[in-house]
Amino acid sequence: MRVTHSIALATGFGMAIVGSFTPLAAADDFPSKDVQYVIPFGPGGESDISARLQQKYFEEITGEQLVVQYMPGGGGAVGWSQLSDMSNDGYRIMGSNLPHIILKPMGKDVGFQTEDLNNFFYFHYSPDAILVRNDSPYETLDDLIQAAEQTPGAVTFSGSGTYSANDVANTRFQQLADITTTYIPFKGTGAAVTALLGGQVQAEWGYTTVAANHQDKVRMLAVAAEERHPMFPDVPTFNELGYDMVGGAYRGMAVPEGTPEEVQQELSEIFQQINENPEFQQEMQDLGFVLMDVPLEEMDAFMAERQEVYEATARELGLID
Amino acid sequence: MMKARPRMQATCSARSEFLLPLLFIAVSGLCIWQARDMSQLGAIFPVTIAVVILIAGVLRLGQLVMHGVHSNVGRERGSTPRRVLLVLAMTAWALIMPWAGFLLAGLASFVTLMLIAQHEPWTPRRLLGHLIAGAVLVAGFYGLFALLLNVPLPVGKWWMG
Amino acid sequence: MEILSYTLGALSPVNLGLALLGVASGIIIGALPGLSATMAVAVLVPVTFGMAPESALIMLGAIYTGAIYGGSYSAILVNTPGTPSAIATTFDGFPMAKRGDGDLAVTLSTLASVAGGVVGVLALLTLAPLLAQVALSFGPVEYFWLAIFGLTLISALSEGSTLKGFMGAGFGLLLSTIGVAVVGGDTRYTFGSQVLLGGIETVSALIGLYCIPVLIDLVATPEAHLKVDEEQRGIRLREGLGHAWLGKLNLLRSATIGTVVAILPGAGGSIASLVSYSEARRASRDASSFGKGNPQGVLATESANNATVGGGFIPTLVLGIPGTPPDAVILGALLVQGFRTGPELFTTNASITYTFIGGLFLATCLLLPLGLLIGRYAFKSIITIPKALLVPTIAFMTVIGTYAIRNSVSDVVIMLTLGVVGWLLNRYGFRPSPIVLGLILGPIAEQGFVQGFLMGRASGAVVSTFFGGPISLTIIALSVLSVFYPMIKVRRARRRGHDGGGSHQEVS
Repeated sequence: MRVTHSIALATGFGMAIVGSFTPLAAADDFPSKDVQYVIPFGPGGESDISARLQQKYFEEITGEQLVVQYMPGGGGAVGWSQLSDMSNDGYRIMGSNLPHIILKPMGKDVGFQTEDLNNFFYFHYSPDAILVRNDSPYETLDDLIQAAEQTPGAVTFSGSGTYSANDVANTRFQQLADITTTYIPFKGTGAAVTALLGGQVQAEWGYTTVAANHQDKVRMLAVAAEERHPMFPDVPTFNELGYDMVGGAYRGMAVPEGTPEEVQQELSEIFQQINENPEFQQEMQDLGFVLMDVPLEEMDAFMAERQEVYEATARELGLID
Repeated sequence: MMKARPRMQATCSARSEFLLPLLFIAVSGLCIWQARDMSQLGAIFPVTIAVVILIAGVLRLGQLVMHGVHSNVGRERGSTPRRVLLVLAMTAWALIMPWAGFLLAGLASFVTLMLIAQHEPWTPRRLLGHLIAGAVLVAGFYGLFALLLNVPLPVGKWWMG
Repeated sequence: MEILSYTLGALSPVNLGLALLGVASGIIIGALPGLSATMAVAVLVPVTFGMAPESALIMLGAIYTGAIYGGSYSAILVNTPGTPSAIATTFDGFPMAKRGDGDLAVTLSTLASVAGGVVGVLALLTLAPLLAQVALSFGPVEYFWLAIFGLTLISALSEGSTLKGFMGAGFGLLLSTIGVAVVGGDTRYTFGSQVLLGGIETVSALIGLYCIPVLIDLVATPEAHLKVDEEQRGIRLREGLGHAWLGKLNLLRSATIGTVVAILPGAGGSIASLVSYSEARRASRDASSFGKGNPQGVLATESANNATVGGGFIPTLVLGIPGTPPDAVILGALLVQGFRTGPELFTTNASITYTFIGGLFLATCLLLPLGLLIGRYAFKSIITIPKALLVPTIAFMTVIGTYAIRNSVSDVVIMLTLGVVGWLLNRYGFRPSPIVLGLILGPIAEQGFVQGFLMGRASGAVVSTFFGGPISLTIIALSVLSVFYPMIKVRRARRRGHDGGGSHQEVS
């Protein structure tokens, strides 16, 4: 035990020194050592869980480890503001989340700009969804809208955080359906779903993933995905019901400024390959995620499109004018 | 007739007993002032708390004036320069760590703190022993955190080129 | 007796070995300030992916149990809670160590942890589905009142002037509002600095407020850190058992409080141990000796915080709502492994669930031999290391521990600043505990209040939202009692003094 320990220590030292002095390795043999994957949130959340699922397939494809680390704080801001200080050889990648990376820096200085993150791949999203308890009187989305129309503000929604994906979804939905509800922000999705299960609120802005975890206790009224989720074939999408809402919490990966183009391309392809693995697809689907592929070459267009959507909502929320 | 109450014993000097409540009152005033720009929901909690501190501070001052207070003599103990040096050394350590890297900054600070904490004279043997023990400890911590626990410790911007 | 056979499944040699390894490494990680139980568990998660699910869960449970217990070492020996759950252990643990009873305090903490852990696991095994409902009956309003109840403990925690305690707690509450507000999204008291946007991290604040003052005073004099008796008395197990037997009611009460508080997802081990500490003090005939090294104080807090391990798993396994932060990580690992929480965890997947609970029980029992062994070693090394090595070592732990929480150098600077402020305030009679209490309870109180207010406004009845529920009213009653009980106690004692006639009480 002690011997292996000291060997590990010695190799670690060696690696640290070699890693910091050798010039960048050519992209075709990237990666030639472990890649550090920094999650800008604490462990146990959805960003962590999806990263954990990617972990083993990354090793299968590259033969190197994907080492998950955490840098929580400020709803991701603590991590993202430090991304530019990290080594840009491609061996440091960081989780990147929408709408966070666009909404956070809006109208205030949080230590990073949306442009500081070089996103190289976006791999899935958790579609927004309206959840109610199994015993709720609201059977359909229309029931809920009717209740909100009768007494504006009386229908309460729990959700995670202010100016967050849930808050954005709620604001957009209020606009589209022309209703007024009360959005009550909680610290994290866990607290928001607890409030729903405990009957403190009538509905929750959550995700398909929340419904997947609490299948026996909640039902969804509508899902903000393009098509119905295979796990919930009976739940309509907002589009079907006449509301133009597709969105949720998108997740991807970013590297610091100055990371060589070839390395970014290589990383993008590796994660594309992971997304194509049927086993990975099944695992992600079982948890309620929806996979998508936004590789490096499509990233700018995707970001521009999301930026537009969030800017419109941010104006409504009064974040920017 | 009211019985003459005993004067209160200060934890430190009598003057500081008056000064600290004043300081707390100032802090709460600053917090209330700062809360002007916040939304109503955001301001209500800090303002309430600041008002509570304000009241507690005023009550404390009243208590001090009513009862009178005498300084606590015979408390001053220990070497203040060493205390200040410790704080300075640790601050320097934190600030230099992103630049010099964890290992170098750690080793340098370990030695500095060792010198600050040593009250007896150094013998060559003791110095050598302590230095070796220090190096082993730093390496041990590095191994535990960086290699086993995957904490991304700073490598040092000076060496990154 | 299916349950029994599943539980016995935990006893295979491999699982036993993993539990042993988990508990031992958990103790060490927990003992290092900054390395919390959450982190210990998170680090282990990828390792467990390659294992059989049962073994993985046993190891995760073991490391969690070990870490919560290990937090008491640094609390007792260097006045720094290794994990937030061990805050209250410093109150009596460190004074005990100072006067030369550090070995006894470590032994007491071990005994109490085992007792508390067993109660928590038994609750998980037998009452889980029933108790899980408690988690759901606590809404924002109830959490608000719970935080207020917690704040009434200030009067118990502030030695000397209660007004100073209030000012200190207010300071802590204000510190907790720094950063971007969860509810409302305001940026508060950052004074334009990005560093403060993420708020003050509780654990780094703990390290600063408790540990830096110890270091500052440690370098100032050549005296030894802890008083050491000439003759070594071993682990003083017999003496420890004596105290534990005397405090059996205290142990049971604290373990129950720990279990119940852990079921509430918003509370956690720190609140559990603080509440049980003040209850132990309230129930004691010798309340004034609490905070000065009363063994019952250590027994109460350590029994409560290890009971939170089992208690926290109740909502985690039954409802899929993590009771404590480490539970969130274990829940994540479960999801990755392909398990879903809920009723089927106790029916179709019962074998895994009961093996896991069996593993927790096993880990708790392993605490006794391992804890006494490692504790003995920790105590010995603290008293034998010369000061010139002890100071940099502790300093090292504070700096790297703080850094490791969010990988942030700014947190280290904040920790040091709070440390200096804490030292100065302590010098002028403001104890760190009320400040920390405010820092921990602040977010719970504020979020509960604002959420409750929004709920009340939506239903058009703010007042009845806050004063309507039976749970709220009970907690309010308890808070009132907690504030006035000391006065009632004094009055009753005085009256008894008069009746008895033979007291030393001066008749004025």
